[in-house]
Amino acid sequence: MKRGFICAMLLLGDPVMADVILSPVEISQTLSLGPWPPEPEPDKSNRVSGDRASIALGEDLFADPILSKDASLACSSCHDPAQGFTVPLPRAVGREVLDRNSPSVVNLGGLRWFGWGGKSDNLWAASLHPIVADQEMAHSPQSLQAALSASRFKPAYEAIFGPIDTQPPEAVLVNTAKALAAYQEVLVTRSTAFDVFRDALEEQDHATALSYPEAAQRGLRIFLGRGNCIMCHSGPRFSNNEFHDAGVSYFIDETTVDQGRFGGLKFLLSNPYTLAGEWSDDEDKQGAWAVRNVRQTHADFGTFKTPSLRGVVETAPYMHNGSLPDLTAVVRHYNEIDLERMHADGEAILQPLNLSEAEISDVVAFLETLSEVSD
Amino acid sequence: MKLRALALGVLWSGGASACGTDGVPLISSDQDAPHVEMFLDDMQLAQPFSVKVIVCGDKDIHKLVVDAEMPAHQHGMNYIPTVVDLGEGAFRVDGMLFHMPGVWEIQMDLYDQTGITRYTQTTELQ
Repeated sequence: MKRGFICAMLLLGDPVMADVILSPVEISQTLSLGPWPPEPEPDKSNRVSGDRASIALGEDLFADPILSKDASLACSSCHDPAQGFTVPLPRAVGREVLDRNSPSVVNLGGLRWFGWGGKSDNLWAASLHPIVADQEMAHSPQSLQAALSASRFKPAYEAIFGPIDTQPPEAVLVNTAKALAAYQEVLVTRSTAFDVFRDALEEQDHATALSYPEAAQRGLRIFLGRGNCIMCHSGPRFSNNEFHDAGVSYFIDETTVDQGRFGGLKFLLSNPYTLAGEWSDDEDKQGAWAVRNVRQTHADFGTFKTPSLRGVVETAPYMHNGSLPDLTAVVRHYNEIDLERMHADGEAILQPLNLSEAEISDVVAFLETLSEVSD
Repeated sequence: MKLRALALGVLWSGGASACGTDGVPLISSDQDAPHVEMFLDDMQLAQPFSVKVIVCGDKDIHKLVVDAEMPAHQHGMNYIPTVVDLGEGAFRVDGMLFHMPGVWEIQMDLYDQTGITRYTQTTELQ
């Protein structure tokens, strides 16, 4: 504590910073977690990315059950805007109980992989797959085309994409997914109490930095150091957007295993809706290097994408299977991680943290500042 | 940005003639192995980057294979880099991606008429 205080004093050169307890290294690490929000970048693989009419159509479709074959489910059924664009269930419920927790769909623009297993390398494909998955919305391209053609959405669709009835059904499916993606791209969480603190450190705005609770600072120090959380929850999104074994069970039931990234890659590499495929609108195929060069290994088995921690308070329960009910349970999970459960070649970085109850509370206090809106 | 790209272009076009400049030497246990240097292009956490490799001398190189791993964490990269032969002993390695901060070991296998020579070098990403 004393060393951190002195280091902060040296860096910032002002006694007012007495209550900023981070060391210079910790301050540097903290700066790497922003700024936020990022500059929006159009998705070149989606020709309607950033288009207002498409965003509006996507928003309307997102909340309408027309995207499910029996008109029973909308995207918002599992990604409820009123609940952080997820639902408070351990595992999502489509036409049946699905294998995984429903991930939030905020802050998705510009990511490299989508979904817990990363079975999509772009947002429009990630929006397309649930529409035609048997366990989810169960449309065929033909039934989707017929439903949209007979619906109130037809004029808006045709104003953007042209006559719906003369298009191949698969094109209608992809166009619909691209409108949904255009909408989801604009779902960006706002600046948080953490961002205000982080920006104040960068600007050496001492008075503002001091408004950040000390408990959250203590939790941040654990996040950066002893907890090793930043190893995977890195960058302004608090995610390296890659895949890890976090020591959570990958059994769906007593006899079924969730393959995680291993299955995600098999799916990705066998479907046409990738950045390297013909449905991408980017002639240069700029983002296609990842799907072309991604490495398949047995170590992918049972690994899942590092989730962003932005807005994390709103997205309980946690982990790929929703098995942890609250943030305290998540910190306890890493605090007491079961090394026997880890793969023999699992993440050597994960070790029991031996945090005290007060330290667990501090980490939770820090995580809560990633959700608070600062205005 | 343009200026930086131009500077890299000048450096990268040098090939074997650029040996002994500002490159980081790759280490081989074979004392007769040709001197090899690498240039890291703007490494950023969890973002793809390129590495320039220069093999000094007039060796007839059949193939270069480059990879990397984190010794402390028992895993490598999630992507297979692509090696582009630029001529004159110069190679560009695209699609490198370090998805975690810490020490990474870059590994390079140089294939020539005498066999395979393994080189390594560590680098730390903050």
